Amino acid sequence: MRILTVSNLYPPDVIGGYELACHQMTRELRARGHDVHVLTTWPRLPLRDEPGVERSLRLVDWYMRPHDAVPSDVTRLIDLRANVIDAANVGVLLRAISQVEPDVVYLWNLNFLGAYGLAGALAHLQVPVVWHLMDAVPRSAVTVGGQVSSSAGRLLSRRLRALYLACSQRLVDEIEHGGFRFGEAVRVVPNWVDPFPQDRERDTWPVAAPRLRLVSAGQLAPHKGLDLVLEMAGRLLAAGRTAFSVDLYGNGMLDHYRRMILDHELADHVRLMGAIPQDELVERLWDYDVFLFPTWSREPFAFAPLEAAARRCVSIMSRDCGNAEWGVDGVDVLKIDRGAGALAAAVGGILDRKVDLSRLGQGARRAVENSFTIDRVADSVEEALTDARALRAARPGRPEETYHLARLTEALAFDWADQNR
Amino acid sequence: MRSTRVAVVAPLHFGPGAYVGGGERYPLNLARGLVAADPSVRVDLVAVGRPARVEALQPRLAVHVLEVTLPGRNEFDHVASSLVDVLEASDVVHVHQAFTRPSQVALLVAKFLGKPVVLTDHGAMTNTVEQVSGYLDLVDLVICQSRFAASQLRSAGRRVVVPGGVDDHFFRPAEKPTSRRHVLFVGRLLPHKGVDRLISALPPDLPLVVVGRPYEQRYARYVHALAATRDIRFVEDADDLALRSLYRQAWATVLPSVHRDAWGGVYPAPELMGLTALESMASGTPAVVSDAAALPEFVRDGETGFVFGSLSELRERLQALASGAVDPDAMGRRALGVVRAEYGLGVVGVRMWAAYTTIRERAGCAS
Repeated sequence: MRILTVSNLYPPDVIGGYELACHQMTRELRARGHDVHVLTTWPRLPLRDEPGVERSLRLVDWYMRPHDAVPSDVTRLIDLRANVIDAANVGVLLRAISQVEPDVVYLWNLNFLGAYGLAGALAHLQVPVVWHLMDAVPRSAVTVGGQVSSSAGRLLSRRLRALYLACSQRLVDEIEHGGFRFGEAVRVVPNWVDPFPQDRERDTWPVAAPRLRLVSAGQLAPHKGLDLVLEMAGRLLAAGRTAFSVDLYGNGMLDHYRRMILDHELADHVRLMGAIPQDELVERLWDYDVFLFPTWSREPFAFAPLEAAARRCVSIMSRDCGNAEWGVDGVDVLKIDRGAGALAAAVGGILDRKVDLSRLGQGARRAVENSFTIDRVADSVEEALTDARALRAARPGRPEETYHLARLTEALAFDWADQNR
Repeated sequence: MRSTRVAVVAPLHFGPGAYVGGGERYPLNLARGLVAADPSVRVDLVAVGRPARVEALQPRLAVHVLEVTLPGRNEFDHVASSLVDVLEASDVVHVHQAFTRPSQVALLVAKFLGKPVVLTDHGAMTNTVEQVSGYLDLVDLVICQSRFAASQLRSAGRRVVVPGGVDDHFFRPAEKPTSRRHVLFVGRLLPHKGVDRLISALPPDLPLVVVGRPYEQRYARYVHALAATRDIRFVEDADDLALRSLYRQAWATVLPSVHRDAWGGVYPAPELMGLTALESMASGTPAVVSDAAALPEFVRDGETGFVFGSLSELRERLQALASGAVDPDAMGRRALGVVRAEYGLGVVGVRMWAAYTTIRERAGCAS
């Protein structure tokens, strides 16, 4: 099958797991004999040309910027370009479709590309689409200045000739809350670990170390539960529980957490480890006992707890996040009601040896091996790609008309923004 | 028999407090003509405004006033998200006004939904989007209400001229002879409508009735000052029945529109049709129109009315009609015959329906 894959970023230019997963799936599909062409953005780094990878889309490079420091009319303009429409990117997509003539367009993360415009162009052309969703991209695509246009979401979902692969039901629900309607076209497929690591001998606490070795990795921000982690550490210490350490990997609100560590006198137990390369990070997970993941309920399905599980490092996670949908409490994960008290109680239970960490770790690794490897997920992806080709087309639009519509959308969007300055 | 749903979209609705001019009345007339033209047609008149409502005007004809979700700069510019639902249920979308935001959004949504789109412009312009997008090429068919209107639109697409669209069922001569007692003007009080010229040319002994709301205070003051010592009555709140009576009682209805107003302001397209001239003719009263824009296309000079160039010509024509040198009844009867044959609802409805059928067949979606 000839596939045109579209992703906002693509290795080696990466920020998170979404684009790494795109790369892994591209590699897997090529290994299965598919002709996969990747369309992504101008690199933010100097890169060499790579066969099968076209880096010509334009990225609104606005990741990790503090929006609250920006005037609202500027934010609105950025949102319009990043979320809604960039007609130039539609032009690039049309050219790629013309050149590749794909059987299916396989969409990944379209944030910061003018997602609505790209998906809308495909809808107008009635090209078969599979959209792999690991974030609420269709919802972002109809969000400007914090306001969600559910009618725009409904309109797009009605016209897209697409099947959707979503990494959790929670993600499906969140996107539908923004007006998008999946109907019967969505399939929930998990994220994965690739490569699945060879097993190795490892000891767990307390054999391996005098302190229970806790770790967390990802964006350092309150919504990911980092404040709760530090609060938990404070509670344990206040209760005289000192046999633990916490290492925090990643970037984010470093000043905020440095201050919290100092203010709560946690420095002997909590360390900020910074961001390190992904392959190095996953290797280090062998040396931790518990992965702390008290994330928010909007978490679609983070990769880091899976990587930890593959290394028999047991996750404690919020009961209502996307990852929790895939874990069995007490068998391969520990689920908690999100809060510092519950987190402290769960860790305290381990310190009290009420939990068999070794058994849980083996269960976690077994779960990954059985369900969360790329070859298993790729079967579902291939099935969706095949099924998408058979979706009936309804009055396909012409490419030149599609580009005109994109230009009109862009002009109307910016006219509206100009009115609201 | 499966019905064909036509969505007729215009920025403003057609009820009290929203009517502005022919650009709003015309779509309503068109809708009535369409419903009369074919028993399988259902028409949804769609506008944006307050209060939101759906109202059945007659069988197979409903007006949808959609709730404003994105307020615009003015009443021509509001957008409603529920437009998507109405347009999705339609088979053809006819957008009125080319350069207002709700019209442009309607066109965008309709094309995105794969619907054939027809466009008729009436001259309103609230933004410059067209200049950056060239979006008129998206339209499947441009229907123009005059040859002049057709000459004004920059579009590579197909266009046809369907002149007229006057409600000749309502605007008709009185059953009994009516005495004529005034010269009549009907239209918005705006500089390009040229009422000031009419007042200047008005023979001293003839009364004038000016029907229309002021939309520009400076011009209204100017016109009232000119009228101060004359037998001129201003009527701002005439309903359709009163308006019909005024047409019937006039020697002539004058449309003195100009390309250049009293202060030198330039109007490339002051009249794309001139609906009030046709209403007058349908009421059995001659129309006297300036030679500006589309107006001469609808009046046969010396037969159904007069076309004038200079103010002295206008004065002479009015004097002739009022004095009986030219019989306004005979001229009015000829005008009525032309309107019924060429510009009435039934005739225009059939032509519109034929145009819709053609583009639906071309799009491969006709039943």
